Amino acid sequence: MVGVGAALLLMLATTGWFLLAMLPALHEHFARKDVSPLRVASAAADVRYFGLSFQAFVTKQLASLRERARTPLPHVTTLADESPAWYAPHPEDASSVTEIFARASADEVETGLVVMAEGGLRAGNGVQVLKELYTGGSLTAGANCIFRAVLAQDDATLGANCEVLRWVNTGGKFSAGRGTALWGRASSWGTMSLSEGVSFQRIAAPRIEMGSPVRDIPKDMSSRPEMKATKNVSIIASRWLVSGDFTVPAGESVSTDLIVSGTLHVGNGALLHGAVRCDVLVAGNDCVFTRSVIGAKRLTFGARCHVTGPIVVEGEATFGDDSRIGDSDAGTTISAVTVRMGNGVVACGEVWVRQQGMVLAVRPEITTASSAA
Amino acid sequence: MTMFLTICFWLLASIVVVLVVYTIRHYVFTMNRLFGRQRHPYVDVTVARWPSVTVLIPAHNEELVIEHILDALVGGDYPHQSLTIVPVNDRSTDGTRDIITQYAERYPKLIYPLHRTEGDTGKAAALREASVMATGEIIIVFDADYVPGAGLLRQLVAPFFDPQVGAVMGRVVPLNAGHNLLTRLLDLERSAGYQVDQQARMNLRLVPQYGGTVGGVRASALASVGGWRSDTLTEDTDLTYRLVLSGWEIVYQNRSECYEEVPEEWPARIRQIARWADGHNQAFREHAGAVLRGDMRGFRQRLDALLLLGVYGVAPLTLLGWMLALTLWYGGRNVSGWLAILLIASFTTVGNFAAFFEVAAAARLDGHNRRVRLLPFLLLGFLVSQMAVVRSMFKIKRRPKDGNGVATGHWHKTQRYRGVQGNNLILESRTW
Amino acid sequence: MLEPLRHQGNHGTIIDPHRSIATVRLTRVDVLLAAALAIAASVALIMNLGTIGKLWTWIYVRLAGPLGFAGGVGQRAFETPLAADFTVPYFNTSAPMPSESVWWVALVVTALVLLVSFVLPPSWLPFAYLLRLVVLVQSTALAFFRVAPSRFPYDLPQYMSAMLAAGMAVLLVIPVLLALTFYVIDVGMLRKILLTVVMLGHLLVFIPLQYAVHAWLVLHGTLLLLPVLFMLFGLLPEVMVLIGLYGWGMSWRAQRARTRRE
Repeated sequence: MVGVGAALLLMLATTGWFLLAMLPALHEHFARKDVSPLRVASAAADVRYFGLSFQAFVTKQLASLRERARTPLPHVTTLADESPAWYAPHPEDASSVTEIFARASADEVETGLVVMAEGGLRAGNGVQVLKELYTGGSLTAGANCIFRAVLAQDDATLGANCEVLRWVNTGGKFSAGRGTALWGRASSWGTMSLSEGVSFQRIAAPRIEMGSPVRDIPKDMSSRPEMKATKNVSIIASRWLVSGDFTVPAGESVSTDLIVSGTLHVGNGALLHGAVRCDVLVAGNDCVFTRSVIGAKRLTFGARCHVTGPIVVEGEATFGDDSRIGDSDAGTTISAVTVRMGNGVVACGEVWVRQQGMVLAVRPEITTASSAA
Repeated sequence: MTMFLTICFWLLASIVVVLVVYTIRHYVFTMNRLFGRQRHPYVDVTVARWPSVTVLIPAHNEELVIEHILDALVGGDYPHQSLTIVPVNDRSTDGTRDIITQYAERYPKLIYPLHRTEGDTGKAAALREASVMATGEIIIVFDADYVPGAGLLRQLVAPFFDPQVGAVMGRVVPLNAGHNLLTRLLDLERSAGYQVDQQARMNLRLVPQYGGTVGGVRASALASVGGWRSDTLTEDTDLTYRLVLSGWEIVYQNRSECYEEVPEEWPARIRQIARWADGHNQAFREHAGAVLRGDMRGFRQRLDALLLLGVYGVAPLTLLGWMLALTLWYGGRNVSGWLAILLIASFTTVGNFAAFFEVAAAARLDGHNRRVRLLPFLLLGFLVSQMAVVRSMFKIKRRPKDGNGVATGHWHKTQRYRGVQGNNLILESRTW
Repeated sequence: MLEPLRHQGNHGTIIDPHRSIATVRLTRVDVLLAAALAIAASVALIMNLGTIGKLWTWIYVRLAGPLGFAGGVGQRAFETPLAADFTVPYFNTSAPMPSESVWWVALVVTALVLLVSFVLPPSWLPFAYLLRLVVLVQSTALAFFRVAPSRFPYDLPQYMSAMLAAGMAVLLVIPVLLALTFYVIDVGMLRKILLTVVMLGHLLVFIPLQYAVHAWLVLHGTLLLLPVLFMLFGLLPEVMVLIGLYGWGMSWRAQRARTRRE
């Protein structure tokens, strides 16, 4: 056989050249560099996740800081992870962040220090804390302050036009002045008060009051005449299914789940006992929704509406003045891409806005056929 | 002879058209997942008045794993007053019964076991019988080897606040991903299937598939389509189609992740694929007509539903196409023109690449770039899957009957490995 | 100035969105650059089709003697609508038809391979299936050459030139393929160019070597081997090369942080 040696060499070269392209695969197969399963986190979606994680870190740090403290005055120290921190040991005083920073070098202020105070903290106008801030008491900040992250055991009050870059978590009440921007997560175990012009992303509290004044708006559960299914309603598995637009007349009630593929108009004072799903919702004033409201594009609620169940929309949700979302004994969730809240709106539970939520004086123009009638 | 070759040619051309459609589907899904707007509308619902839920855990000889899932569910954050856990022990011959009984005694208001000793066997039959005990508005099903995280139940229940949602599916994450080459390949495949396929379907408002585990169904929706059927090989696919054909929506939640174990041996993998193929093809026979007749909303949904139903037909079609190409080649019907050569080269490369693009994109989205290097090995995985599907199609299947002539099922399950190799659950690292 | 801090964790690292919602940012500039790179690579290839043909001819001229192809090297011209015609080389030697004894030997070897595929351990199952696939194709060849050997429509030169032309087509498809599946991914431009060059460079050498091996095997193993070489060792290894290198490229780190689009 002619050229066997040459042919063997050729085959060897060809196979080798082919395997060159397989080298990354073979290397990964044998070296096993990336073999761990995906980490499935169970709690990161909790609005207080960062706050609680930091709380756990702080709790560990404080014992050591107390032991090492040689002066009752605020001083620079280091934490277990080697990061420099200002530590204010006195539990009674409301230390001034401004004064603390006045003692720091320009470098320290520039790079930012973690601030940890056993007692309360005050921050004058324009203070910037670009690392975490912990206070064992309350935080009172003036206008135009910027905080990266705040953990307050008691209340926290931010003045006008402040900014929180990552998260704020308070054990007591939390209030934000006009024009304040709350990026990331804001949560409090007490009432949260957001003034007009406050923007937010994810907020949670047992009671969130938007703008002012917050009035007492009773939920009108009195019986209304029950709406009869119209021709375009199909009833499947006890649900009303409507192809196209649909109107619930003012002052009437619907007792089943309602699914509308188009725009759902709800007249003033209507009562919907079932869950609602639609493309667009335009609800008049004083409507009551006792279960969830789901929208594909836009949800607009008039003034003084009550919604008990979760509100989910893949677009904008607008709540008229004095609307009520969730109950004090059972909170709920609002999830939307953008949210506009009217003055006096109260939400119990959580508001999760993917882009931006804003407290505004919202007076949606309601033009439902029934309400016009 | 010429006529025969002409028929072969047109048959092959038809098969190529079908394969091109599936290729385009791969590319559309991957592009959408990589660059499109992502839909996960319900995942933010964390505070609500939660509906009553029954968790069904069909179990047959699961002593290695049953404890883990019961612990995980009991320790979860779903309000216990709204939760009922029903482990369905179907004639286990190991310690499963004792373990379940111990848990039921420890949590008498939470765990209500069902020990089956008669009737049809198999998961579908177990679910059917257990659904009588499912008094909750929502029924969530987990296979016994799954380990749900603390917040998973809430995440899976949240979409049911939408009255149009009939079923929900979460993401399955292999726990034993790194065990051997097979598990590593299955990890890549699962990643593509959930991260890209299922999520793209969700994004594009198509038909995400209810997978029968790490998922749930609305009790009223289930009742409205006739409940669980015990005469299907894959009750999940069957239920998916019965629900969507009745106007219910199925939601996929990519964020709702849960660990599972994947097969560690090729024969087990082949059995798994063969079972899925059987069930899927059964669903095709039963539901394709209804999908084609247009008993569903929207052309896109119908097309997607049809392609999903036919997905296990791709393997035999590819093999047939391949045989036809060989026949034509023997017949001298080979291409010689440059354009035809270019077309074939494009089909071979771009067509074959679609699945690899999807897998690689999924692993990158998962943040595990390095494991993408194993892509060439996936060819082996695909070859085995193709053969398993083809073999299952040509196997004569007869469902066993009991004394009354009623068809009885089987427990088709994958061998459990946990405990044997000490697979540990992953611990979280914390940030703020 | 403070905007980046909104996305940084406590150690200053960027907090990526969770994998379930992460997407890859693709700007118009990225799309334009991807298209530009694909067009540039395609144009460069088209302009050099003739040169590639010459390179492959050069390789074959040097291999023909040592491999025992007495007929030397021929060339087949291909006209393309791309205004860049090219030629591909082939060994100008006819391959023999299988004799009776060769046929029987092939049958026995095929049966042995089948047998081996059944005794491999379960962990080798994919390879067992691969062997059975080879057996399946080889069985069709055995059947064909038993029933109608005279109707076998191919000879070696024709086969080689067609496969090398197909290889040329694969090279041409690479920029388009990468534009679709790699240039849109968030890796740096230099790496995109690198992967393109590596893929093209690899196949540029691999394709002529691969078909030279085919030619030698067919010359000495008769045309009986041609079906299995064509079906399983033709375009398939080329696609595998692409997949292997693509997997390498896709494992490279992202150039920028992942985004979320919702």
